[in-house]
This record gives sequence, structure tokens and C-alpha cells, in this order.
Amino acid sequence: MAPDLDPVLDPVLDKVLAEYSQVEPPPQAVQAWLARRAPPRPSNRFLWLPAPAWAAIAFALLLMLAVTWYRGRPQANSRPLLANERTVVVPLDPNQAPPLTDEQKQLIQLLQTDPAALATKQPSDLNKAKKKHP
Amino acid sequence: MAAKPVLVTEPEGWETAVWTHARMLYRIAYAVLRHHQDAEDAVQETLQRAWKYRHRFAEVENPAAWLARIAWRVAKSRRPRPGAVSFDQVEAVAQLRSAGASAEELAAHRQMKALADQLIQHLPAKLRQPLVLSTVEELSAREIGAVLGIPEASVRTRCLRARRLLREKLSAALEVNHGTRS
Repeated sequence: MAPDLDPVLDPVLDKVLAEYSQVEPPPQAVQAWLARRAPPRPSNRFLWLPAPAWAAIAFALLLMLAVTWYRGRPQANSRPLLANERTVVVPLDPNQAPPLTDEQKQLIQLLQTDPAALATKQPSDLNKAKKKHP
Repeated sequence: MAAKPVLVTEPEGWETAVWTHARMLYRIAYAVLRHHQDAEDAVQETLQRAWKYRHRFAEVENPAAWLARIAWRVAKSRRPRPGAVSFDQVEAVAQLRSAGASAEELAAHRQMKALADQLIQHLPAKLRQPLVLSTVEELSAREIGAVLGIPEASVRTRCLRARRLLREKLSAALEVNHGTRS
């Protein structure tokens, strides 16, 4: 090791390393460490309930939520199915029918003049035809 | 009639053990954290953990190494404050001043300590850890090995390598700052 020694830097390093952690704990620190052997417990004692107690509380809450939901949901048989509903067909009285609009009248007229063409026509064609036969 | 030995698991025995090892624990924590308040907190946590597992403390072969290992882990788990100003520099300066050091010597000493501190912090962890622990005079190479989980021979080798690297960096830093060194 002798060839590695630096006459200037090695004494400096020795001194720096010797002082690196040469500290003393403050006088009151040891007393404080001794006074607090165990970590301080939180003031809220409920936090220290055992795990089974927490599990029971969670289960009870879930049960209450489930019962509340079950009671509050809409009843499945409160309304009859559409298939079971009775349908009454009332014949239309021509005297009581509402008057036709202009558009409906034009469409009826179109059907009377060229009904076969209606099958192959697009809505745009229908508009054009309506313009031809106002 | 022979006096009954006081066990470390009992409060009296524990108090004796704390008084015995407090300085070593504080120095380990300080070597890592470089801050007095942080070191105090780390020792507090170390002793609380040790008290929790005090039945092991009574059984271990080397109680000092066992406590040192806990202190090392606790200190390492705490993040050192960035740019923390350590009070030991102030104390060292006060000591030098009382010894009759000149203002230039004081400034040079402070600068050198600050520079060495920075260089040590930038050493690779593998080299820095044994070097830092070796500055705690209460720890032997064997105990440092027990703390770090490496053989005693590795501790010595790494300390030598760390010191060599530190000297190179210090030399380079001084040449940069002051031109060529005489």
C-alpha cells in the first residue's frame, strides 16, 4: 500500500473520514428514545379492531344494501305482458275521421294515377312526382 | 446469593442496552442521513422495532451488529434531505476556532469537508456503503459485513477501493479548483 499513499491527500482524507460520523446524540435524545419504546398508537381506537370485526361490519353493510336494493326495485309482475293485453279493434267511423292533410291527398292522387310506379320509386322520386301532380 | 441477571427483554435490561448502543446507532443513522433531526428520528424508529422483536435481541450472537443492521435499514429507507446543512460542520468550525485556527484555515477546512461529503455521496453504492459504515468507530469490519450481508474480506476490499476512488476524485477536484497541485 505504501506506493499508493499520497503525502498531501491521504492525511486530508484520514481527517475527513474520521470526522464523517463522529457525532454525539443530543443529551435528551436517549431519554426520549427510552420514554417512547413502542410506536404511538392512533387515538381512534376503532382502527385497531381485529380483522374479523371489520369483516363482520362489511358483511352487515353489504346485506343492508342488498335488502334495500331488493325492496326498492320495480316488481316484475306488477304490469301484464304485452302479449296478454287485450286489444280491442274499433271500426273507423268515416264521419268522425280527422280531415286529410294536403300531402296525404297528393299521395292518394298519385296512387290513383300510377300505383305500379310507387313500388320502384325512391323518396326523392316521390317528391318529384308530387311536384308534377300538385 | 447471586443477583438475578437482568434480561434485555425487561425494562431495566433494555435501558442498559439502549445506553450502551445509542451512540453507535445515532452515528450510523447520521452517516446515512447527514442530518441530526433525521438521525434522531431514525434511531427512535430503530429502537421501537428492536423493542418489538426484543425476544430475538436476547438470542442473537452479536446484539450490536443486530441493532446496527436495523438502524442501517431504517436510515436507508428514509430519504436524505436534499442539500441538508449538517450542524457538525458548525461544531467542527467552533472547535477549530477555539484551537486558534485562522479564518483561512477555517474556510479551507469547511470547504474540504463539504467537498469530501459531496464526493462520498457520489461514490457507487457498493463502495459508499462500507466506507460510510467504516467511519463509525464502534463498528468492526466483521460487524459491517454482518450489516451489509457481505464477507469481512469484501468489506476491507471495498473500503480500500472506495478510498482510492475518493482520493482520485479529490485530487481531480482540487486541480480543477486551484490549478496544478504542488
